Amino acid sequence: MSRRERAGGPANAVGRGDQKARGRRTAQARENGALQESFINYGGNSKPEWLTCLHEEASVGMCHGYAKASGKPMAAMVHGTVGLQHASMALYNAWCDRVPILLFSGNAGPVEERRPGVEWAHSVQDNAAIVRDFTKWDDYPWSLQHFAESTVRAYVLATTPPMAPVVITADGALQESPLSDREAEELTIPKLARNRVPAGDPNAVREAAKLLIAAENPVIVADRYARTPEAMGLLVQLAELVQAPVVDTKGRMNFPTKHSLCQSERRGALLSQADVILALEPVDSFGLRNRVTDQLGRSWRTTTKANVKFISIGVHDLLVHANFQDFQRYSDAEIPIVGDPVTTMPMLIEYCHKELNDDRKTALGARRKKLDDAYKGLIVRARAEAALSWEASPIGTARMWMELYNQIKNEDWALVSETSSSGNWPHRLWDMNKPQHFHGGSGGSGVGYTCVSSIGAALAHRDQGRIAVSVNGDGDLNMSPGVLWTAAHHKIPLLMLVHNNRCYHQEIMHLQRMANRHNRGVENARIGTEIRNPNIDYAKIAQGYGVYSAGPISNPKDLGPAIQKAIQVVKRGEPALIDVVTQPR
Amino acid sequence: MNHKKKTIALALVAAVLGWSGAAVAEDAPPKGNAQTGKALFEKDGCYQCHGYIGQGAGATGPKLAPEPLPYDAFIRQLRTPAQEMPPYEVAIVSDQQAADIYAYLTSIKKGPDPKSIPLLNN
Repeated sequence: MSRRERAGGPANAVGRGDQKARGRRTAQARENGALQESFINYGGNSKPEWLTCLHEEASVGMCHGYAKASGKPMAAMVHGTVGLQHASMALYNAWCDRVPILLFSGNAGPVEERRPGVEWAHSVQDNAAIVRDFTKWDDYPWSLQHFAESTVRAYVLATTPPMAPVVITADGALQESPLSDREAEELTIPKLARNRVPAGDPNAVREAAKLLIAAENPVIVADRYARTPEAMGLLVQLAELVQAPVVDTKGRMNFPTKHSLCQSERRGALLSQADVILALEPVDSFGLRNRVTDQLGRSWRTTTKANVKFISIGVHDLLVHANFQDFQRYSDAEIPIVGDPVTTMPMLIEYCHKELNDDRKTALGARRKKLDDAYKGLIVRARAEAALSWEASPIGTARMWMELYNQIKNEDWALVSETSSSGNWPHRLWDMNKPQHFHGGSGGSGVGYTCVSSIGAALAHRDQGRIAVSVNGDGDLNMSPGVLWTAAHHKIPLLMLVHNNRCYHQEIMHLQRMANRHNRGVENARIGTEIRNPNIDYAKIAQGYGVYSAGPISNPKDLGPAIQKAIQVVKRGEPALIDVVTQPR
Repeated sequence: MNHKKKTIALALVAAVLGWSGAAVAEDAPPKGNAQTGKALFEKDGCYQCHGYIGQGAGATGPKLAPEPLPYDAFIRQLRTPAQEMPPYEVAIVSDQQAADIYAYLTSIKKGPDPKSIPLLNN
């Protein structure tokens, strides 16, 4: 019996004292030595369940999606040194997106414990150093007691806002060596105590409430705000109380899309006229108040009124590192409040209630009427724009999204991918009103996030009996297509539409700008950006990984029936992929 | 040429081109070939931001068709664009090529009425 078996296993330690938060799944990438053997044999592959991934970036990316969909972290185990380097990009995404992940990475420490060959080549003195700039905490425990305490500490730190990934280095000798009787007797696994989350300073919140109620044109901006199921309802309460439009910058599922105060598409106009802006967990405060034009001469200008009052509530400033710069240009605020916005929201609502008198209520009611009219205009405009390419081939992105919605709208569904690279059509035309209807983006813009995180999220939704759907860029899918095998092998149901525009589209637009900046024409901008000649057949790739597939589909009339068939596959509990040849965006 | 001089030179080019655009506006749009224009629309990468039929695409580029801008406004935007669109100078897209692209945009037929599309109205 090894040390680990006697101790009952670190995954149990993670969840002890909190059944719901039990770390019951581990996304595993390649070899993990004694811990892996103990989990599958001693643990019976149930606590935790082992998920086999074909790349470390996929395993960590799955954890990212799972955490956002389930509200609790998943653990990943990666090979020391080489595995951790493979995992690093996905860790960076999770760091930027403020998502908790428990990462265990092996290492062979004392020289007499190392086997010859690769264990010498891969051993390091400071295993977590390469990811320390974008993780919240790491440790290298030297005893099982140390391991137990550090693992519980890691869980607590990772899940306390600002949330972020943590790394535990699992020493090889510690994993493999027998546990002495004395160690077995004395070993204790600390009870998991969840930290209470800090709210903003009450005086500052009261000041913010006064400004909001007195404002003529207040605007609420929500970014990575909604981290709990209650968050959206609280924001609706505040917006209706203040009668303020909400600009959802889509870091999370912040506000119902069919609520008439949801006015994200009017962002520019609203912010330029605002006298008070309330930003909730903002990622780019500078960008809310300024516009950068990337032309022949790069320039920026302020787009808000000079006397606008800016209020921010967020925890970003509590976790900033020096080297990897996860922030935008500095922007001041009249009332910068450091605190969790969801925890702060009830207090802000209460203070707004206190500030509101009958006269003010009448004035706010008149403002709401105008906002309702503006919302109706947004819907008319969105429908008109969607119709423009309705019959187009390659297929318009609006058509793709609406054909998908038509098949799921009466189901319990979850959208587990971004929408911004394909027109934001769900946010413009779908009825999105539940936390599972959107999970936000990658955080670090690391390409390859969507395909892996969507399958991690789909796993969480499978447990809730939901149909998970995603629209996945072709460039993104090429980064980690092996994750399709993981979905097939573990029967993770997800309908993935490939938004196949046959290029790295973000890059081609930038290259066009650079070519014109040098006045050299744009003809060659497709070199190094297009994914053509030969065109990739994603349906065949999916079939190779054991996933049901259809396509490539270029005729818009063929898409609806194909989705209908694929949904039946997903309802059977299997993944399905449809290759949709699309307009660029 | 240092950066400042470059900027001044480019500003002068823009000013001249702006004047050219205004001059064109006094006449009817030059005759263009829609088929050639369609090929240029793809070759010059217009479709990447505006879509293959000029429908526009949210943040990347506005709708160009159907019912394109008047020719003088089109040529002004092409040569000295507002916002993030890269400028297409004469050396890159000649006046005749611009006319061909404009002919293509003009030839694009209107899509269906959004009210007639059930998926947009459910």
